[in-house]
Amino acid sequence: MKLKQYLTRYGIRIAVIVAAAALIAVGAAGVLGGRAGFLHNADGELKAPLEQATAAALEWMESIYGYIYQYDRIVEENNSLRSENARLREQSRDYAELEAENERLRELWSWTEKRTELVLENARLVSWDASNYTSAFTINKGSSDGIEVGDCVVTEYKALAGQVVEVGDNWSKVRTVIDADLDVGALAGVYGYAGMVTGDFALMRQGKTRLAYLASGAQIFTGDEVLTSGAGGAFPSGLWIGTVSAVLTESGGQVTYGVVDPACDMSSLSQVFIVKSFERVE
Amino acid sequence: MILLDLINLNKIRKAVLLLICTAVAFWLQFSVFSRIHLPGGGGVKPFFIPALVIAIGLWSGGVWGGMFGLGIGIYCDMNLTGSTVTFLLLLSVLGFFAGVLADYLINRRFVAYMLLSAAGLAVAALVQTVPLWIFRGASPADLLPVALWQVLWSLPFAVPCYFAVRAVARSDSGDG
Repeated sequence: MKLKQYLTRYGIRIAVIVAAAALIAVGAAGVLGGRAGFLHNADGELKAPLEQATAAALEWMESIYGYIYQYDRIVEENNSLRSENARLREQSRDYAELEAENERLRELWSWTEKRTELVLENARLVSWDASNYTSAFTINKGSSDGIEVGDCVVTEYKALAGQVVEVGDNWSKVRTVIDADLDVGALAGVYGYAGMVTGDFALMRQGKTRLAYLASGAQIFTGDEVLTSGAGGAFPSGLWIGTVSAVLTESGGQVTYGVVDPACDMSSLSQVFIVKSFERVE
Repeated sequence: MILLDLINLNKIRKAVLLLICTAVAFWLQFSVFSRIHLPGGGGVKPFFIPALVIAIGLWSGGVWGGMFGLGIGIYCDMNLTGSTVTFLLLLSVLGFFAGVLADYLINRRFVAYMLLSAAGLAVAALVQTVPLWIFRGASPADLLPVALWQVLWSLPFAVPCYFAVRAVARSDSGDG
């Protein structure tokens, strides 16, 4: 068979099949809106035990490697954590005094205390996304546990880890806070200047993200803490996003932005909590 | 018995063996390599699945390459965040044209396969960078080194794909 005949005979047939499959995939993605389709869900269910076994085996191997090759680093880290612990204990005593004073003043002025109550679901990280262009992971809880697309994901310290972008019956996919495609309303610094934490590919590769779109007149400094603003309603306010590690200007020199070190340590992430719902209570 | 005669057992056996190869490749790609960061480009993960599709096209022809490319592409789109039909389209085309090239223009030797794989892996890496470049304003200067390292680290894993698919193709005599 000549090349032209081959292309006409098989090429067109395959092109039609591929085009039909592409149309179905695009249509299904539009209709499902982040919920997993039948195939995807079945795949998630089937491979979940295998992925969990693989994750456990790899974690075990990493722990052996860490014990053999990273002993000195761990000792050093332990010493630095001891000194940080001492500093935090001192800070905690100061905060206790401030809290008591705050309470007295609230009573004096009859102000009610406001706080955000979170309904959490704990989950285990099963696997990371295989792409070099996104930062995402899969967890072992899904729609059967009440998880929905858009729910935010935090660590045990209420540090923002990411947002649920896809949900199956017993698994969900989470885009991390450093992903180049994630935007979160933020408040930065002592005065709580409004801005937006918006993913940046170059920073994502370094495990960082970017604080941009700051309000005019806003001043941010290295060491400023960045919290969720709660604007838009997708994330509760007051979750710790990270700390400003550098303040830079865009190439034109007009716009300032901050480089943010995330509070969530992605390299050691194994358990997370999904915020199923939240409300501001008095 | 008559019904059994209508079925081409050789083709079914070949398809099953290729599916087993594909399943192993998926496990390595999506469960093992997704946790490994290799040096270069800020810690890249290899992405060798396009090389598997090219090997199938090369040894089994354009139709098998196209159809396996379609199935493998759908699976990749399901498992890679933010991708809907990118790999469905890309891998079908790569599989089909690998088969066409092997049937009409190039030989099936290892060097030809590695060159074809390098080209296919490069196309796959570039296609992955396009949404970030267009929709998120990422700089090509940041994207291209990552794509390059991804291709370089994927090539060693393309080697077993070639030999595994060749073994399946050779075990199946009358088809190709």
